[in-house]
Amino acid sequence: MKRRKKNRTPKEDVQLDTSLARAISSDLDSNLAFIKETLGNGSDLVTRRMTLNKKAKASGAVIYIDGLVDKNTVQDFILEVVMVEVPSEDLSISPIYEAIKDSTLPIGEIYELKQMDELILRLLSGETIVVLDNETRAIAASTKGWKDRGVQETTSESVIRGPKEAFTETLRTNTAMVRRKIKDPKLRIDAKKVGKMTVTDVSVIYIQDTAEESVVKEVHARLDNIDIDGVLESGYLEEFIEDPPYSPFPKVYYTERPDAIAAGLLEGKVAIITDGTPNVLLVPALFVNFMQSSEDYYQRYDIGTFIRLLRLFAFCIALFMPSLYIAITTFHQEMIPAPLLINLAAQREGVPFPAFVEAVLMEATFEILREAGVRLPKAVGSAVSIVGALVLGESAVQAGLVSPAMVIVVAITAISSFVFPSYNMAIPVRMLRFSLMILAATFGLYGIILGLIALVLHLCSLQSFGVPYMSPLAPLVPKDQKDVLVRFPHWGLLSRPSSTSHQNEKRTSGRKGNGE
Amino acid sequence: MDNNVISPRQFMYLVILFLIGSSILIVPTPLAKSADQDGWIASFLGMSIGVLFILLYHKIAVTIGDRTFIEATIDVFGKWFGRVICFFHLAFIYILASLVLRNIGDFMTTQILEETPLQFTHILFMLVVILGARLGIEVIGRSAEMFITWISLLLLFLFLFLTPQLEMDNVQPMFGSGIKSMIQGSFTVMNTPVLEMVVLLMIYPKVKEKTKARQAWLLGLLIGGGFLSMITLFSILVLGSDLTALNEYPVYELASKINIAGFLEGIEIIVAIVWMLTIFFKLIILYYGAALGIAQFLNIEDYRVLLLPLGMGLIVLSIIVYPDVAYFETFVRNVFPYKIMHGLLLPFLLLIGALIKKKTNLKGKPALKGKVDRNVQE
Repeated sequence: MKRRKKNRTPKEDVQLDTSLARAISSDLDSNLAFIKETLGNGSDLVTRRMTLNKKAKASGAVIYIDGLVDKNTVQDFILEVVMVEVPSEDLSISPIYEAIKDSTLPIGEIYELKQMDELILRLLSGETIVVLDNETRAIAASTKGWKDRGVQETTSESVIRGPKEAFTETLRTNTAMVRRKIKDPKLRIDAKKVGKMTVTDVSVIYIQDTAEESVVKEVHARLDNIDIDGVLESGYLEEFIEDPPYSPFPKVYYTERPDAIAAGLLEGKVAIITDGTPNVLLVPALFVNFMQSSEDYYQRYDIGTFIRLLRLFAFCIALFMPSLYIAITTFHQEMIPAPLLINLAAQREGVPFPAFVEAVLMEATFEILREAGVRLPKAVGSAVSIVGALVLGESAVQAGLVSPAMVIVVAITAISSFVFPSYNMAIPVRMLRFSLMILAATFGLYGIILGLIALVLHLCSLQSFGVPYMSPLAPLVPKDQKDVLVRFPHWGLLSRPSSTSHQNEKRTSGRKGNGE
Repeated sequence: MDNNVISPRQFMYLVILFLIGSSILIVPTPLAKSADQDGWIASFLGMSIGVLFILLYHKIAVTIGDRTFIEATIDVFGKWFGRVICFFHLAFIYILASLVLRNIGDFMTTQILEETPLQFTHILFMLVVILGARLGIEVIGRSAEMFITWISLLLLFLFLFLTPQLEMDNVQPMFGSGIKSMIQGSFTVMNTPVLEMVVLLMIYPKVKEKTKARQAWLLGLLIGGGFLSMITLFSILVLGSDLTALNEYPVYELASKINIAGFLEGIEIIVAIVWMLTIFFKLIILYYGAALGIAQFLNIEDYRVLLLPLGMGLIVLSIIVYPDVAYFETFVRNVFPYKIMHGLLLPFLLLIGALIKKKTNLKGKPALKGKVDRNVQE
């Protein structure tokens, strides 16, 4: 990050082409001509020129982009007002510009424009522009309104108990969903624009005096430093702002669940909402966050704890199971009880490959099946599972390509890798599994343990926005252990996790009363 | 140089891992050889004497303040004579590191990976050590925190599962071997690992909250030494002192005795895992200390540039450092003068020198008194 900073000069705001940076002229026709020329006389550009007041000989125009504005608003609150009410207004009291801006236009958000580049930018963001003849100022009225998907049920992070709603592609809807959950007046929603050509709206959300101020500043600084033509998904931002870029582990948490974001904000984290995607980023993200699901907090604490430990176990299986199988069957047969060893040996008798080749074959097949399953339409999806389960599992064994034990190993590995609540934590596990398999095939358990040491060293060296990635495990914060591997009851979660925030620490004063 | 720091707790974990690493492999045999059934008492005795050494090392660390052993020696004894002492100290650490690497290599190639060449086990191990040393002491401290739980759990498992095999007759008669042989046995523990702890003076300046550091160091000795003595006690209890003395890796043999209800057996790999983890930390402390020390010795800004070449050298040295295991066993038994020179005499010399220098400094420049005192306090 530091290196990146040196090379780039931070810029204040995203701007359109500098050739547009000129003042709005007082001649209406030249203004209209310029706008049309700039936008290449686009078919969705609507310019409605009209005479506003015959007595004052005032004329003007209403400009908007069809499809980006809410037609009803433009019709009822702008065109009607400008064409019906303004002509009847007594213009001797106030000039026509003030009359429109201050008294007649019934729109909430109104901006005064003096520069052409700002006018174009607002026009393209879905606002309606009113330009007048003999006037160097223009009015932009917020009439944004386009077809969006609406709030729907979450598809990628489903829960049994808990809210089902998910973020949508529209920034404003998303910020509203967060605001609805946290009514604290200190909830801050800072706006930003990123991307030279897409000029994507980005919101930075945090709770003031709860979030660590340095982290908020760092997020702002890193977002300001981004120099790119377009941002289509929060993944673009993630790669620009995450700490060391060379690590397979995710250092930014993303989710499409508003409740997960609200929970993160309450822990003093900072959320980044990007317009155009339902995936909202949350920083700083620690390793343990990827092992936790929001449902842990909705179910009772005992089952929440049990499931967390189960997930950790599944993490180890997903990472180590194939390599352990290879190591034990190839190098350390003495570890297997004798009857099982005889069985395994009998199964492997007809298999032509060493365990490593067998494992790589099956793992690769599984990865292909999984990728195919993600991309295929739902109707064809079941076909893939049939091919995967029956043809590749059953028949591969019968054909003597792999041993049945290996199919079990690959299956349990695959199932375990679906246990993580965060999809992006499964990705490094999928990739590292193969390197561990190579180590296991060459050095047995020795290789696996050394791989594990290297992995832990790497994890311990990572940081997310200045917070050590493995905290509160390493460095150990005893106070925070109440919500890491186990989850205490809500009345026992007395303070915010101190690894992410040192401010406003108290969460609850514990459980009182109720009949004890 | 890196401005990483470690907490007193991390330092304590490193002390524990340093004490267990490699000693757990090689100490029980000579202990049982010299003190028979009282080997574990000798181990406790050695650890108790270790307290005195830690007090000495801590005194040195406080006297030299924020400087490492190498920096302080060069400061106190001057450019040339100081460097001569440093040369001996660095050679000691470096050779020790190669011995530790050879320990794990020997164990792996004789017990677990019989067909893998020694060189390759060493190369793989060194690669991870270099990676860790490159990431700095802070990361090493954090990973120690991650692993200490697993190591303790595995050791506790071992102790728990061995309880059915204990035979109290094996340690009787208590104190029967005589006081002389017990003292002789305690020398073994002082050789490895107590006197080797002098290398911790290289990382001590990185510990923050120095007030708690002495306690952490002593507590580390208590826990690490406790584990070591327990292991020796269990070896003698289960195998008897004769078998312990004869076996090259008695603790590995010990773990193979585990048999719970006929299905939980052959789990001596647990011991191998504990060894690998603890030896890793011992080696990385030695290696980090050596690299840092050599960088300071040569006035190199960043020790990281030395890691790769020193690592290559260490792999070669570890293979030629002793010709066979018999040689090594003789070496371990007769190494006391060598260890006492590097672990006691040189540090003691430094302490005297530093104290004298401080005194003359105080006399010469009374204005600096407050400043020097504050350094000492830290």
